[in-house]
Amino acid sequence: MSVSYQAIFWNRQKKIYDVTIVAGVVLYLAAFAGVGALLHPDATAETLLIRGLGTLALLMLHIILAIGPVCRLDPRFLPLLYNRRHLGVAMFTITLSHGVFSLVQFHSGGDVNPLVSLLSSNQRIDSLTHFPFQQLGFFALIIFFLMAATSHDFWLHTLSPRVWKTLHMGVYIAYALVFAHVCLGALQSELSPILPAILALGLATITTLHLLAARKESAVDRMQLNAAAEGFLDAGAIDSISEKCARVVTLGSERVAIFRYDGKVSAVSNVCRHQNGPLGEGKIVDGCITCPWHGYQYIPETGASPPPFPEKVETYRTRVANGRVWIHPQAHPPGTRIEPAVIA
Amino acid sequence: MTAPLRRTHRVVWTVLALLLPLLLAASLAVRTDSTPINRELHLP
Repeated sequence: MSVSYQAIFWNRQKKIYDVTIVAGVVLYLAAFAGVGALLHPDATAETLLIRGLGTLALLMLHIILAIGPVCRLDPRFLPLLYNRRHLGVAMFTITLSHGVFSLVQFHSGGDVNPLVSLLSSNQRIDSLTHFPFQQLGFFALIIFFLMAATSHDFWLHTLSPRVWKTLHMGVYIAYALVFAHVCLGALQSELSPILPAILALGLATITTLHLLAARKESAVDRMQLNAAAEGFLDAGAIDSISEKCARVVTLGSERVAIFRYDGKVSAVSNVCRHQNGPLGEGKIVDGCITCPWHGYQYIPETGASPPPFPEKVETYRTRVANGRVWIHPQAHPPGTRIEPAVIA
Repeated sequence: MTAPLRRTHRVVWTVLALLLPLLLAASLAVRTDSTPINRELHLP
């Protein structure tokens, strides 16, 4: 959160996150090379490296894809989300290394440009066994490149959160391409049951997590509020909202976070201006609603970030009566001050 | 504001959950040993 542009704001947590990633990468590659050399003494160093990088990239992609739904299902995993982009860029680097080594190993010995060779040497799209699987990996790599290149907040602000999010949902297409790349590539030459078993386990885990998270979100979207006088809607008992926390309700297609704090109630849009994070799953810290994803803050009464920060979200009128919270579905323009309802 | 993204997300993962297992099964069904044993070869 900043008024002026800042390249990267390094803090202790980011450093720990990145050191953990680098240590994990080094340990995995060392273990893969060591075990691989023992089990396959005839394998060349290049082959071990290509396979080690490939399997590592696949593992990292699974972890990246699991972080989102796991955080939706259990907020205790949120610290993994804060710097997920670092993991994404690391995964892209590993995938790029896998691609470059493969290109050199399999396509640089002829008199044709290696990239031309990659894209044209195999055109057997009519055969599953001989399918040009390397091209699938190449297209996935292009998507990962676009994601890594636009991972910085500069691009988030330039493209807008909606466009940026849509672009980064390309990771699902990339996952499908990588999955096909492995199924039609490594799986066709490796008859061991271990690789398909791991691939199936990874797919089952990722799809189950995403579908469970989607079901949880659907339940919030389907929630119907009872209407009352003057257009206010019943948003539930005040006691159901913990101090300095929120309850999320759906008004039409919009989600609203109703916060309880210091004997008052305020409601703002649930969508953080930074990355569309769920404000209602955050807390009030130092008097400000704090997004659980990256710590962007908003004043509950106005929906505006504290000066000098420019972010603003929509605000809503609230009432408290007979132990229940009532909310008016009319959104006020971002940053509009609305007097909080007082809990009697 | 984020409802369309959630809907897209749900549809994408439903489709992937159906298609990718089929792809895995198909790829396992067609795979053959890439280095079959040469029965004509008799090493000392």
